[in-house]
Amino acid sequence: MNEKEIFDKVVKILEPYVRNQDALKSIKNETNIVTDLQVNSSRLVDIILAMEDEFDIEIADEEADSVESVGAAVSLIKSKQ
Amino acid sequence: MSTVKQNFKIEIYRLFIQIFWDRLAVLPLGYTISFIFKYILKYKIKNLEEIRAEYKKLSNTADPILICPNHLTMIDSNIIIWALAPMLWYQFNFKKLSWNVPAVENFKNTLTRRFVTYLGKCIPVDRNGSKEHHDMVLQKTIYLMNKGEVFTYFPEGGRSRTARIDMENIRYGVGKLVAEIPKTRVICIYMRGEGQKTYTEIPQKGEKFTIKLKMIYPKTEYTGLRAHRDISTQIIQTLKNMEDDYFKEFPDVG
Repeated sequence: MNEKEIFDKVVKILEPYVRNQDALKSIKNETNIVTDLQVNSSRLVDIILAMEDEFDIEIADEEADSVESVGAAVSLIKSKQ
Repeated sequence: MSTVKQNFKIEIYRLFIQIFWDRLAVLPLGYTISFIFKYILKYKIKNLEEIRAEYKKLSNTADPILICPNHLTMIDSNIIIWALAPMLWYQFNFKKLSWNVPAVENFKNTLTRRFVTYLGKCIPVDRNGSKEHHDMVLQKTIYLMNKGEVFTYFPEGGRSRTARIDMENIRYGVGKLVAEIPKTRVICIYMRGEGQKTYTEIPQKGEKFTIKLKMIYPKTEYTGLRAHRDISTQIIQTLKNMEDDYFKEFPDVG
């Protein structure tokens, strides 16, 4: 799977949790999941687990903590493929 | 010894100093708060003797105990402590007087609140704090619970903005804690005042509370984050069921 495909899938996973729809429209790698997209931080666990299911990977707790931006999520997923 | 282990050891020493002062403060602080609740705010707990008998029975165990209540006001913890047992009983069963983990922003700017929080068996948490800070709070909680100390954690994280249990907005911190401590008994507490229509700072004067208790033993086949989510969901679902029962019993309130 290439980076664009991973990016699109990550955005789809994030969509239901995003409260800032304007930021979603201009989403890019640098977009911060909590501060820009205004995703409730308590939902980050659900997002990580959804990524594990979608990409059939395992994400350790320390790795999950490092996922702050969309780009960080994409890089992490790509590194596990 | 690593820096982390050294810091943890220092924090535990500090906790034991705090416990020393808290033991001395139980009766004067407890009776003062009870007096304020009973005679100034005129709060009444409808089923007080029943709750106290139940808590005595449920807490009579060597297993770790975690109290998980719903959250509607800033003083829910204090009311629950007042409801669950008389202060004199806590003096002789000090470990059953629950610790709390309040958000530091709620009291750090007020000397009185900081003083009362220190004497009132609290471990403050900075919600915007670092991972190291959150890990230390968790480790202190685990340490004390394994020593038989009771803790209160609110599974909803904060006061419910809808005044009802919101299954879409639950936190998984309580699940993380229970997953770390085998054989934890969770006492779910549903508390509501008759006049509580939304979340507030404190309940209205003259409020009459109904309090229900239910013990569960959350189990999960999952590990890691899935275990935290599964356990948290079990706890919050129990509270939701208790809330549904409450509104069936009292359809005209809230």
